[in-house]
Amino acid sequence: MALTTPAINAMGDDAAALDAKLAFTLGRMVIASGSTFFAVFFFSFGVLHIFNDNNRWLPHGVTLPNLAIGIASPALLILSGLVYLLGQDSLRRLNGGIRFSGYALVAVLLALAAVAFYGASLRHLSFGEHSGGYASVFFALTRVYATVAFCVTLFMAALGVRARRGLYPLGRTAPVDAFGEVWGWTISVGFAAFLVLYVVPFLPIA
Amino acid sequence: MLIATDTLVFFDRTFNTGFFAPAVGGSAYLYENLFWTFGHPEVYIFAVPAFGVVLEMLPVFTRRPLFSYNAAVIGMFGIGLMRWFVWQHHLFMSGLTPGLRPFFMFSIEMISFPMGIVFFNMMGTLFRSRIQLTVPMWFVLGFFFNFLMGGFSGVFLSDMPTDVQLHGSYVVQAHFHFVLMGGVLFALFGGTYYWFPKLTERMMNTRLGQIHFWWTWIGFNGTFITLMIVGFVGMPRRVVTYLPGLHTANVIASVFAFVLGASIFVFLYNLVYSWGWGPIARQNPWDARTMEWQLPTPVPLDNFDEIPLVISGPYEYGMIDALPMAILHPSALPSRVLERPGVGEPGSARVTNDV
Repeated sequence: MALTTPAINAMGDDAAALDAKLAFTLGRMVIASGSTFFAVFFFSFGVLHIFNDNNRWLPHGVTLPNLAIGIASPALLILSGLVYLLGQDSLRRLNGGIRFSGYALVAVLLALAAVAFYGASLRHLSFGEHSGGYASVFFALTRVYATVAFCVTLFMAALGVRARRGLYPLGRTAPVDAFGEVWGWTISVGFAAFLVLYVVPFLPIA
Repeated sequence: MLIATDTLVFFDRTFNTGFFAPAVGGSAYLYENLFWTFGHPEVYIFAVPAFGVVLEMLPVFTRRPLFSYNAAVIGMFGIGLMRWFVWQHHLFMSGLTPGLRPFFMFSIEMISFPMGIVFFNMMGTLFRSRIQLTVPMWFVLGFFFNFLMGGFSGVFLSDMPTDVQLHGSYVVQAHFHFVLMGGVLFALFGGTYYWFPKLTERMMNTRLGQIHFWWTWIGFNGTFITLMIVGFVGMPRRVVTYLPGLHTANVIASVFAFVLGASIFVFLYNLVYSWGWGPIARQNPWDARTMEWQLPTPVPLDNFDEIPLVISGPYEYGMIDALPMAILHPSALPSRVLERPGVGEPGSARVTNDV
């Protein structure tokens, strides 16, 4: 993440500021492009729901997936996000790279558990991929989101390892903070996906 | 958006979902929506950098400050925002609920405002200026004409009553080419001629550049004005046969298309020839103010020895007492320069056409 040209190294504090700008710009570009990407899934949900072609949005026999498994994933992700926040705080206040890596490890394990629950949510369903509009959105969104969450989790693990090596001293924590924004966004998308897949289609008014 | 749409296609094909299959609850109309939600904003993704190139070159060759810089920036942001509300005019004929047509017609026409603001900035900069007719400036002038043609025809295609008549005709094709080829490509050609000296240390051949411009401009307009006329009288796109009465016009368009195609060879020849044997370029052959031209050619690896101190605006051409844009070696800066009022504020000096 750090800029390394000779001129940049000669810049001292300016280099740290540039480093921070780079990290936050990268993070926010990921958030912007990722938001557009997932907007397609939510848009598809809305369009297929409204059109209800051939009454195949929720055909007879399609019932709510297991709510306990469905709610476990976003809950674990939110927990993971809170643990990451504690890690960020320790890094900023205590210059605690090693302590942050411990928090990051816990956050990674929670996130991996969430991904595992996403895998579990695809089993023992009352419908298959070909069972209507809702089923299409359910399978595609769950699989794609779980894959994205897994990749972002790997990045968090890498940050933890780098923090343990002392690469994020005080004043140089921009990558950790920028990733915090990305992780927060990832969790938000997961929560929105939960609402769309488990709550909205089965509301009495839907 | 295109990647996400392709992901849904991938799921349909590989995992047997039914996003776009009506028989299992999907909708082909969903695909149309997703494609055009990507497809029309994409045009602005091409167009906005081209606007930037034109707005960058225009003050250099008119020797005037950019007219209302802030409005130009607001216009660009407006285009970036409004582009999300324009896709539905592609679906006027695809089953869009009639009640929604007026709303989308309005939202689509609204993008004329930011586009118009940017174009107005360009015209304001051009107004009463002393134009330097260099090759990049020829392409800028060509851009104005072509983009105006594309913009005007676009307004009619966003109007539901006219779009219903013109949908699927050659007018659509001509409009698209006027915007993307006549607009964006001309801007990029101009940009190539403009920045070529900084990239290669050599100037491109002016005479060949002028030939390239006129050849391209005549070939382009001959092709697409003809096709626009053909479209107005009702010739649909994607056909191999047409009414006998349209034969002559189609032949004319084809001939001009070959002329247009051949013009690229002039450009390629000029590019290769000038890169190898063109005259050596000065550090700042256009007398431009922006930072890249303050660097020596070839550009050093890390650009500047020290961080330059920016003390003035980049487009303050033709201004009395205008300071240079930046001090490249701030350590050598006399302190009294910074004490002058108005330093660093674009427009703080009086405007004159005398350079």
